[in-house]
Amino acid sequence: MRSYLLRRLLGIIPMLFGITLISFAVIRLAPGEPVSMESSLNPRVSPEVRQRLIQIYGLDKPLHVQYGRWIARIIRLDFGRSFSDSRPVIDKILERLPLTVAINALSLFIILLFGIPLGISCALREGSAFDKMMTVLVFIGFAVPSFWIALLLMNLFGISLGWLPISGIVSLDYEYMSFFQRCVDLARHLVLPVFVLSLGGLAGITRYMRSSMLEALSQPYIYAARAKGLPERAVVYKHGLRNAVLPIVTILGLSIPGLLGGSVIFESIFSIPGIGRLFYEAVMMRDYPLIMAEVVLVAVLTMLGNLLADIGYALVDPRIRYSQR
Amino acid sequence: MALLEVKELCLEFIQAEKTTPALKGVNICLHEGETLVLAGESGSGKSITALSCTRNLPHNARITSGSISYRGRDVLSMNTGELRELRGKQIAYIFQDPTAYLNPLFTIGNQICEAIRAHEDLPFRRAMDMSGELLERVKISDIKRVLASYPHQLSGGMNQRVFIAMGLALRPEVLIADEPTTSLDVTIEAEILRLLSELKKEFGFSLIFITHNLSIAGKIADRVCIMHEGRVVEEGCWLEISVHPVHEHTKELMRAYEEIGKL
Amino acid sequence: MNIKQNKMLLAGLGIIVFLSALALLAPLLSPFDPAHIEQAELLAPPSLRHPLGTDSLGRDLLSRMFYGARISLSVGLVAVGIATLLGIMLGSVAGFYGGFWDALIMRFVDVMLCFPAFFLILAVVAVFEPSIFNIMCIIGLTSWMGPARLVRAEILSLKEREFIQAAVALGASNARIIIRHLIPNAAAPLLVNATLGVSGAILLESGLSFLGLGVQPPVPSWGNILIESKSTLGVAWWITVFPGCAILVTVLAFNMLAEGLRKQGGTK
Repeated sequence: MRSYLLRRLLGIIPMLFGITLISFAVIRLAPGEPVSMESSLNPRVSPEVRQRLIQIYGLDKPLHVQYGRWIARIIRLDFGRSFSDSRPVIDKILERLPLTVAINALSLFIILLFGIPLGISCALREGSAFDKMMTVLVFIGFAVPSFWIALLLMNLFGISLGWLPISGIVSLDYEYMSFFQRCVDLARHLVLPVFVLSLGGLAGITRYMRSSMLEALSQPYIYAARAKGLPERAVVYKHGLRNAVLPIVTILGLSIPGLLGGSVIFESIFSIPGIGRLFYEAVMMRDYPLIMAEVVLVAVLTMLGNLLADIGYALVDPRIRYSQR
Repeated sequence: MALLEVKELCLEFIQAEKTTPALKGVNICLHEGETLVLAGESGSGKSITALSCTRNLPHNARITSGSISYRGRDVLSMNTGELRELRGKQIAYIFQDPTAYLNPLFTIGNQICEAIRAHEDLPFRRAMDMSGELLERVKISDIKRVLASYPHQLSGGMNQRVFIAMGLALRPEVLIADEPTTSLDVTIEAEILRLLSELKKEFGFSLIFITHNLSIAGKIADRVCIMHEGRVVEEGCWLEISVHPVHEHTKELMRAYEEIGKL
Repeated sequence: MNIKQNKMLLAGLGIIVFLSALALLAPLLSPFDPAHIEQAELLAPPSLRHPLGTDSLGRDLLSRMFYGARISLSVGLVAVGIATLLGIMLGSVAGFYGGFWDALIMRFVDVMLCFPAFFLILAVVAVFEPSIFNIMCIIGLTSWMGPARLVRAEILSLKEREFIQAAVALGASNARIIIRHLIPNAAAPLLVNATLGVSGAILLESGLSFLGLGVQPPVPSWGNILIESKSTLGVAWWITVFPGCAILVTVLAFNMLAEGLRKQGGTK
């Protein structure tokens, strides 16, 4: 297993190379120069200053040199300054990253908390009315545009019923609240966003667990376990479930891009100050340094998530942990 | 005395509105102390008959008529508790491809202990010791390593010994062996067969041995049941059948057996 | 499985055909021009004159929905066409030639899969201005990985089979082998994948249009009609409900078709 880990970790390097290459290529393929946006926002910029800007950003150098210089800078986490307010991009991202990560982590937790038992129940009641109903719900869950559900729920809970707030993560008078009130306030604000973010993943995990469980329960070792005289509960939960849940670790890794991508829309709808919303604003303002930084960051996060998932799986499955010599 | 009796057993598989009959009136009788070989080609219904004896059937299989009795008790009407008693404690199984029939996520020791503690209320330590003793009985050396290993780390032959140890842990009266050597090398096969004979003498169980290989039947059988397309077509002691086969199918099988013998 | 018994497939196909008809016949079916503004009827609820109501500029929603169907379906189909074509090309090269090319292309796939589709698409939209054509291309260019893997897997499993060896022995060129023998075997899973791809593309396009970075107003797309729903929440329910339902039904139809096709092909 050590060789597996080593290979996986070494594999990060070409991945990082690929990620930065594609991020670079996407932005630099722009017709026109990125500088033009910055300088055209400021009408007092003279051609000489523009030329200097071009030189500073190294835009007059060949592409591979530009790429090399950019890499050299981002290794030091220097992503340049934002076009909109000249603050270091890395600062802007770091101050918003924890929130997005927290919300996504919470969603992931909820997806697992509800999805796994639901999937198992469906498998154990295969063919029943419950199972059929869940299949229909899952199907609809896959088809629903999530931002639309967000709008509908905002309408229902936020406006019609007035139970939940529909924007931001804290109320205006947050500062004046007690600790307990703050917790409740935060929770109330997060209910809708987290719920909506979880819906898509919930459908997926339920369906996956169902088929994983059904497959596990048809394996030979289930018959052997039953033949030993084990109570059915032990057969299903100790033998079946363990095997069925194992691959979930990798599924988690695979759902990270979906969650992060979804953040762009959700944070915009619910006015949550996370990196998704930051990205949206950057795109609207053609803030290229910020855009590039976020694209790289999000890809790296996904890659790390997958890496963790693979390592986790290798640790948990004895067939990989103790691979045959 | 008839230990296990299967009478006119009919079973069908249900697949998406279609039913396929698999057993069409199977009759089998296992007497105390004997080795009964259930022979026949693939698909003749041998394995499913064996699994039916403890009602360890897949979801889509259904027994439609007939009876199964163990020591006179009707298996088909047993409740969950009685079935659990039956399984493992009175009737034990070993399967083809032992590595697939062991759970890949648990150690050997864990799985043998589980078999023991399913019926005996023993502390884990004691069960583990018993497991070690059992592994000794099936001629496994390096017991500590094997107990701590996972099934994929051991060979097929080794895993089959483990299975045998697990099956005999509670001294069952009947051992049903479903093609236990089919997926093993010939040399290993011989070892396992020898082991089974010795253990049978030592532990005193009755054996149902399922195979499609008649040469094995010749070596170990007291009596033989030939199965074909869901029915037992011939039945009797090995000597008689090999010399005077009655049913068409048996004659075919014998012919094939002799052909290979002549080679 | 008999096609006539495959309810999923028939239902999905039926809905899609119906929607396609609506889309194709949009000019004939629309009571109003989708850009036609009626000052007198801003944000009017559904009525006989305007069966689905009007938006904040007084435009008839029903007409806009018909034209929106055109956008959604065409974006979906073209984007998936691009993705599948690209995927087939790259997957065939990777699977057939193996070695360096396989490693390179698969690495490329792994890297592309690290980018959440939305981020990459939005980054490109920031660089190239949003237009329907651009949207189709960019969705296609970020969705080829699935088909590529499929084709590659199919080719890898078939490469060693006898009928391929026979073709090689008969002197068939590589391209011919790939196109005539290998790819058709991947047709079934590719079709399922493509169908699901269309529903994914429709969701992506509507999400993009909703953010204002997809199809630009005044061209109506179900996604960009929903832009107004943010500001008319609670006041004009029809602006939120109808486009959303349309997207839901369309995506559902394609998903059902995919499921039906999967069952038809025998895989599970």
